[in-house]
Amino acid sequence: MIPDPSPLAIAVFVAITLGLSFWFGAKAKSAAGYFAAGGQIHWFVNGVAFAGDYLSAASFLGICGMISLFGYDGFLYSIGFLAGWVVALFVIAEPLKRLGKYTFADALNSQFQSRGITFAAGTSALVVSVFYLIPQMVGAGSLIVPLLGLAHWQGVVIVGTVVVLIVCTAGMVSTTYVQFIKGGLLVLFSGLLTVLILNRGLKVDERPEAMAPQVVATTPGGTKLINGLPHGKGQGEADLRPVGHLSKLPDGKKETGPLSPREYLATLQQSEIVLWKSETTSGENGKVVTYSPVPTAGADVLLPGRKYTDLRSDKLWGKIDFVSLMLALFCGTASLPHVLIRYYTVKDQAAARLSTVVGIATIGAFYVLTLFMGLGAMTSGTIDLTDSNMAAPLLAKNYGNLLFAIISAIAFTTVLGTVSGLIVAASGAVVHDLVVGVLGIPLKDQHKVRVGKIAAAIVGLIAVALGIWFKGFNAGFLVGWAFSVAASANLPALVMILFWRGTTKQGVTAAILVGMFSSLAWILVSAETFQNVYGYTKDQAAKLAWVPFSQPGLVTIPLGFATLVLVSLLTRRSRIQ
Amino acid sequence: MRVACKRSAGGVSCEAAVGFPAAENALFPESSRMAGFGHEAAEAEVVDPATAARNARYGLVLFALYFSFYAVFVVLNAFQPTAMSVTLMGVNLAIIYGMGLIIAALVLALIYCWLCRGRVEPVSAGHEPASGVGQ
Repeated sequence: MIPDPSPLAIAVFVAITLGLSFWFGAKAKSAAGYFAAGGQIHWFVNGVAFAGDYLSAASFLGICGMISLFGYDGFLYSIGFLAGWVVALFVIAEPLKRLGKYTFADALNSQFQSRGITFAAGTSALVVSVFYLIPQMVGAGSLIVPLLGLAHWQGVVIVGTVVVLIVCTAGMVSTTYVQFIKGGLLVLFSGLLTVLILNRGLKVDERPEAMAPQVVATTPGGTKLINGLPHGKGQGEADLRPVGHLSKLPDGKKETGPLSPREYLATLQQSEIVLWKSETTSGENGKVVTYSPVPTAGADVLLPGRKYTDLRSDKLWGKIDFVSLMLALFCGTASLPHVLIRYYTVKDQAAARLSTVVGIATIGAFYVLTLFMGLGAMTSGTIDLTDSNMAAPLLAKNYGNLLFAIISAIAFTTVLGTVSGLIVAASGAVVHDLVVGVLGIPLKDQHKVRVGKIAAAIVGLIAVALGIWFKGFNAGFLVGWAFSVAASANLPALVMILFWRGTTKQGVTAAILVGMFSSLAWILVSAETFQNVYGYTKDQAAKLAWVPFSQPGLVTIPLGFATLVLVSLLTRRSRIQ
Repeated sequence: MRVACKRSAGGVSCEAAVGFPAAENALFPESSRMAGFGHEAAEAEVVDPATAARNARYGLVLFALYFSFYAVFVVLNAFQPTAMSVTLMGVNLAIIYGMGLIIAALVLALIYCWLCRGRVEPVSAGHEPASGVGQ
């Protein structure tokens, strides 16, 4: 779709984004620590900041988009993302706070002081952060397109530049307060959007053009034709229509009026919703993508299995793939470096506990809202067929440009904040773990900060490049990968150090490296990667894949545990001596 | 470290509380020292092994509870998806169970906080923490 930027939207957007980011950026320069805010953040602020960190592009843009396209299956991500916090709170938070000082590697190393562990943990923190950065960058690019009318890559470059500037001038204190405000605003405005959706209720769209198929043809010369006309907004040109509507309501009604949350879901379940499927054909005359409407029973849309189609078939590997994804989501949260780092910004264990509870409440409330926002986008004619990440902001546009600008600005600043948090975590890993810990280069504090800032700039550059490369992917889907790698690499080491006395330093190092490389390798040779990244068709990808299902977690998380136990048993004597 | 600063006619003079010579302060003003950057950032917390072990025990029990609830959900979705279409008050089980998981996480978190309030009085000297978490 070609964007339609409004001056009001741009003004509000720029004011909110820059205001928030630089106000705190300026405030934080003098005072406290760059990496961990000196452990002085109040637990409530930290708890909402958890939400600000966590509810990134993947949640707001990715999940809403996925729900708007596939219905219930997108909500499964919401459930998995939230459930992971239970692991963080009940198993990890307090011991981690007790053992560590600074980074995840510190906690792992509290009883060993091993260079091997520092290297493995630092590397995995860096790899996971970069993986997690990709969807944020992709999402930020998507947001910029309709709002400012720029190209996707320009959006990614802008985000990269602003974030590196923020990180280089501020650090963890400003990041925390910015995340606190953004986390709060995101939930409040999502709530407002949900109230508007429920208040409008559901409505049948009977216009014949709502059901017209759409065709995008790209000629070998690169010219794009939409429904046979040149792509554009002018006379004699055409652009893709936003889609998504109801074709039937229960009892032959045309409009429901305001509904309660339960009534909304119950009515939808008895309605008929028009979803869209796409078919791509490539030939001598170029590539043709045809989008056609598929009227679908609401009861079907609100059940699992529209995205994970194997859930409704007898394909065992497909079902196992799903279980593997849900396991990775469950285990991933407590293994993410930028979540773990937030346990060091509060005073003590009680504060760590309380801030996690505040985090769970805020994040849980938001995930309940994603279902309504996604379904709202699905039935309000606000789905951009070429970019699922834009469902929530375009839904807001449905209620006026001002709300659109505010929601986009919040989403964008949330991305900025998450990206800065990730970059701080990554640069912390580079400086503390790799440069000082592994290479053994003694650095004075101000040199550490300088090296940290250089590392931040480099990580930012890598993230920008990857963000441009992965354009068009659903952000929620991409985050699933980051969770798999994080859970496989970090969780076995973390849990076993906390709960098994037989753990040795060799065991921990081996578990992190094996978990990280096995999950990365699994992803790189999976059918989903062959199809989406290397560009094969679905059937080719299924044949080329080296592994029977795409999500690594179910194999690589146990593999990490097994490696740790085995290597620890083999090297145990060295520990006793 | 704590630095006390006084503004006077001649400018700002600083005095460090913990043996930090004033001359050095002039060389490294507050802004470039990045206070709280190093490992001494947070004050060391007094760890009470009995309380830590109790909290860990509660945590593991609640974790097991939630994990079972979550595992049943995932297995039902994967291997018995028709069960999810059972409808209660017009809403199907898929949505009720999903919302239930979100609400359960918050409820268990609150229960955990309530259980972990206060400290445990040490039972006797040489008390062995149950789960090996204390140190």
